[in-house]
Amino acid sequence: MGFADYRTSLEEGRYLRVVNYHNTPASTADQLREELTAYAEAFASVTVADLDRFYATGEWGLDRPGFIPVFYEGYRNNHTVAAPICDELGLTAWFPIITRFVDCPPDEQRAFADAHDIDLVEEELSYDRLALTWDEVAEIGRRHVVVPHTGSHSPIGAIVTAADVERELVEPRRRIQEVTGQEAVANVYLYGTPFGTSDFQDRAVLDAGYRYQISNTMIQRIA
Amino acid sequence: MSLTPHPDPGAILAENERRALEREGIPMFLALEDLRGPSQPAADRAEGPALADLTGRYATAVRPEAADDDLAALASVVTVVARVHFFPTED
Repeated sequence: MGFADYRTSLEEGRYLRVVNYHNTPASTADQLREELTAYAEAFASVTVADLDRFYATGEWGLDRPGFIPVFYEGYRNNHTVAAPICDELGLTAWFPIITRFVDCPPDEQRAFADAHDIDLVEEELSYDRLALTWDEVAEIGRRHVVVPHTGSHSPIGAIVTAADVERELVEPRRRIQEVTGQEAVANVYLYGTPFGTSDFQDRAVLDAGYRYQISNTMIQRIA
Repeated sequence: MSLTPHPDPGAILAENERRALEREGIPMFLALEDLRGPSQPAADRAEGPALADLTGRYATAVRPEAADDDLAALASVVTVVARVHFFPTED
């Protein structure tokens, strides 16, 4: 999907508002609350069921335009800051998490982040833990949508062997579903590559059981 | 927020690129594509045609050389559209 197809999607009303967040440190809590309050007043947050309904019927069934606040990577501050604000406001947020960041022992998380394009904020560099725990993932999953952002924050081009597929696509989905008890419906690559650019990875994403691919400019229903 | 075209989309793009986007929310409009078959048009197209027009206008202004399949350029243009026109309008 390029410019022309993207514009056709807009013309046909096939689009959704999202706001992509990453770090949400405590110092940004007031600003984040202000932003999300404005969004909550103007928009209705979208669940997986809402998205499924739209793809089935073309109707959202919402009283306001649909919207998804998205919190990327699996930062601890997404649990301590972002999720509670969304809960206060009644917003359903989506959390694409890097599952091996969560698996990583706390004293190795800074090095893992440095090695896997995971940006950290100065005010948290002295913290004893930077990533979510699996218990926190489970807690977030009770009110929000949790999906894998691959195992290691992997770009599509780094997934070339069966072992890569297992580590970056299969195991992250299995683990999130096990912990949250919810379907992990979507895959999201580093750099937001869409479905349809490489047969090998596309087949792997389908075989892993994902139904959606989220990219920089679109959400694709793939199964 | 209005659906009237912004007079200087290049300035919006430059402002977006200056922002600390790892610590700020990035508004976007994501297209919804169905690869299982023909994509179902929305029952309510709302401001969609106007947003499509704005996307074309801003693409011409800030990424005039971009090929149709240049997804990085498309993403840049969408950040401009979303930064200016994210909130629905009554006009």
